Amino acid sequence: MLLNAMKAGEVSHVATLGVDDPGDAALLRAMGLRPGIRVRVVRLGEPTILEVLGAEACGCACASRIGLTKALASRVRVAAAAGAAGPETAR
Amino acid sequence: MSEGPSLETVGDVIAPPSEPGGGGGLTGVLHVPLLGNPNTGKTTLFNALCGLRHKTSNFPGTTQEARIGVVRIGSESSEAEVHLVDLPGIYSLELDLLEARVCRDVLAGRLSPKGEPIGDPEAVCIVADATNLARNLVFVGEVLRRRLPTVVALNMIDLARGQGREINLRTLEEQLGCRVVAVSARKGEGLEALSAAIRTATVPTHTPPGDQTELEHWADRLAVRSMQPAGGNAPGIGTTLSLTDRLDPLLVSPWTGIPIFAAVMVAVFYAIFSIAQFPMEWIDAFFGTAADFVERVLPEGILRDLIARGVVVGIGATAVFVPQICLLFFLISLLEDTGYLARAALLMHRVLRPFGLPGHAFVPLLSSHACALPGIMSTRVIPDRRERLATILVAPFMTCSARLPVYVLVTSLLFKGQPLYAGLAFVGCYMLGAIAGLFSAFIARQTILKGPARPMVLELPTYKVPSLRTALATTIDRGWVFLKNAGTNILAICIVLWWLGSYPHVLPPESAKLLRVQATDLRALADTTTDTTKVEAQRASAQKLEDEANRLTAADAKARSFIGRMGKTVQPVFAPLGYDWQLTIGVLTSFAAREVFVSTMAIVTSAGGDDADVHDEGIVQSIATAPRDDGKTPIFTTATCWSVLVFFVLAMQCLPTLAVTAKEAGGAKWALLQLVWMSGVAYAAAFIVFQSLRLAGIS
Repeated sequence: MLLNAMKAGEVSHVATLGVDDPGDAALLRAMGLRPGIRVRVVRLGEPTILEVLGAEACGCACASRIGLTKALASRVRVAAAAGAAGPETAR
Repeated sequence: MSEGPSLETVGDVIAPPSEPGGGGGLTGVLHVPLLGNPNTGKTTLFNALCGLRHKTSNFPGTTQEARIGVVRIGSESSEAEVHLVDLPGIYSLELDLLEARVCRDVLAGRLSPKGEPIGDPEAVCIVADATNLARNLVFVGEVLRRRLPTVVALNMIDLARGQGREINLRTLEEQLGCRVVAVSARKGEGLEALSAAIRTATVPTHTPPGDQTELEHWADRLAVRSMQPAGGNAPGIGTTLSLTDRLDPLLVSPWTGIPIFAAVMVAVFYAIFSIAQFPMEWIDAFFGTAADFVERVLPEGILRDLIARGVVVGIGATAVFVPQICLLFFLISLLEDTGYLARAALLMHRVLRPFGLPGHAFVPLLSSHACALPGIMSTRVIPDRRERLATILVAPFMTCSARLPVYVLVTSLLFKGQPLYAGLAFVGCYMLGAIAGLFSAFIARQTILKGPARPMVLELPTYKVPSLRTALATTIDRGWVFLKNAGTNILAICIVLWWLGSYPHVLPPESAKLLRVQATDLRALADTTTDTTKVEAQRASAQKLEDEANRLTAADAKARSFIGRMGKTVQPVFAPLGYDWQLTIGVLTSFAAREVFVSTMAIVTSAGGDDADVHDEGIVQSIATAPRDDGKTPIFTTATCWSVLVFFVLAMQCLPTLAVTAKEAGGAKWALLQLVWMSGVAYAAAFIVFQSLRLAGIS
């Protein structure tokens, strides 16, 4: 499902980024937003705020917060529910 | 993908090299780049290690700033001098961005801030954020692949511990194959251990995987492994809303965010203008005294004139803006450190986007309200080239502090004794500049800089109490850059202006000679008169005649000087805007630097000397009443005042800015475009204003 369909406060795994521009995709990935990673939605809409959580076993010891435009956020696909996909299988 | 390779088998395992230089480690000069993700506290650590002693220069051939600090480590017998280079914060070494390229070149020994190639750095210090270990370890892995002697500074360790996270440094060191030192740059913890580790840094014993995906997995596993097993109470997710969770949506939503933003900006600018006023007055008074001192001490002649009226006035004209610029940077640095500016940029993205500018452009445009030079330099934060160029082109439309003396003069001519209206006119000028800038950006992005809008993505750092030390370091840095950049140029301009305005020397006009003769006669008469009341009156009239003679001489000298002749030649161009030849001189001289307008007008109208001050009632009064050649019409009629005001809001009148534009945009054509476009817009707008007012019967 699309990241847009999530509710504020929900946690899910990123499935695909769906960003065409290689530069943008590389930047998002370097900022920690990549397939398999868990995200928590802080705010939806324009702008969207996500908390990028680290790998599953870290707990939430590895967190950073990114703000991005709705246009970018609406391309991100996430796994249906939290914990449904591990970091290794979601790729 | 199946289970990735285990940590131990990843990459090559290389035997640790022997310890260099005996017990104390390396001696002599060590070049050590400081690298890290943005928002890892890298600059705070740099400042904590080097204090305020550092130099700022550019990497040769780039617009990338390099800050170099010197740290001395060890005893006198085996001292090492570490030259720490603060590199720009980047998310990955592999990104196709200027900042990443600079980092790559420094690590490869191809680039050094001093110009001469210094080869591979003796050691590398990576700053990693302990509260976001996994992502930071990806970056650490990218650097370790370079196989340089490396130390990892695990910063914000105090925050991580406060959140109940314990990180096992031994595990981390074993798996990375290099020293890891826990530090808190804010609290100054672990700095000595870090310095010692830098000195004894060795090439890492492992090489992380080369493939980016594998590297990410390597970093994830390493982060998990180095977390102490369930020692503290790690916070849960999504259970309670943190303060940040509540604050962020408020700050970035238009309905609540924009009023908060407006309030913050009003507070910042109020602080700048109310506090900076005092040091500005002191600086002004100091240079006035200095000019007087030079005039008294040196013998009359060219040298005295050059120093008193060219050099001292030139330096003073620039130095007077330093308090405002320093204060602006101090406050912006504080705001940035709290984490608010990132939220504001996200909010402003919505406002700027329709004009083809990104939210990143907001801080550069805000800085341009003090001075376009640092504003243009800070456009480096904009990732997209076209968006960056558009921001550079329009930044000088923002009302910089050099325009303020002109606004003060003209609004006080228009609204004498009506501070409310004068204030409103002031606000109007600010808005006109900003609107003209935004629409110019829109036009540029639709034509010469046409291209897709880069989607905005920005890290939102955690809210923090800002560091005064970082703010102070930034302030000193920026103030110095401004003085160096603008001071030298404006000084040169002032000397040229002084020369153009003082030469060729001409004999006093006949009328002045006649007045002086009359004055001498009156004095002689007074000497022979016995009635004391009559003597007083005669002496006073003689003084009046002499003053008038001096005024006539100065005005005549100005009119017949090179600049006076230029003013008369060019005047027809500015006639449709309502300017006579004297005002044309003021406009012409301010093409080099607009702040000289007031002193030029004071000289031209012979209202005062070069130390003319807009706050001086007498000078404003003299300029207000100074007549045109017909002797009746004032130079500044109401329509002319509005026309001048609009012209100064919009025109490109700053040589140092043009120089910086050419440098930052990568070509003189951009500076030329900026000059032609802004001055064209200014001329057209001033023409419309003057002619409309005239048609409306206001002259």
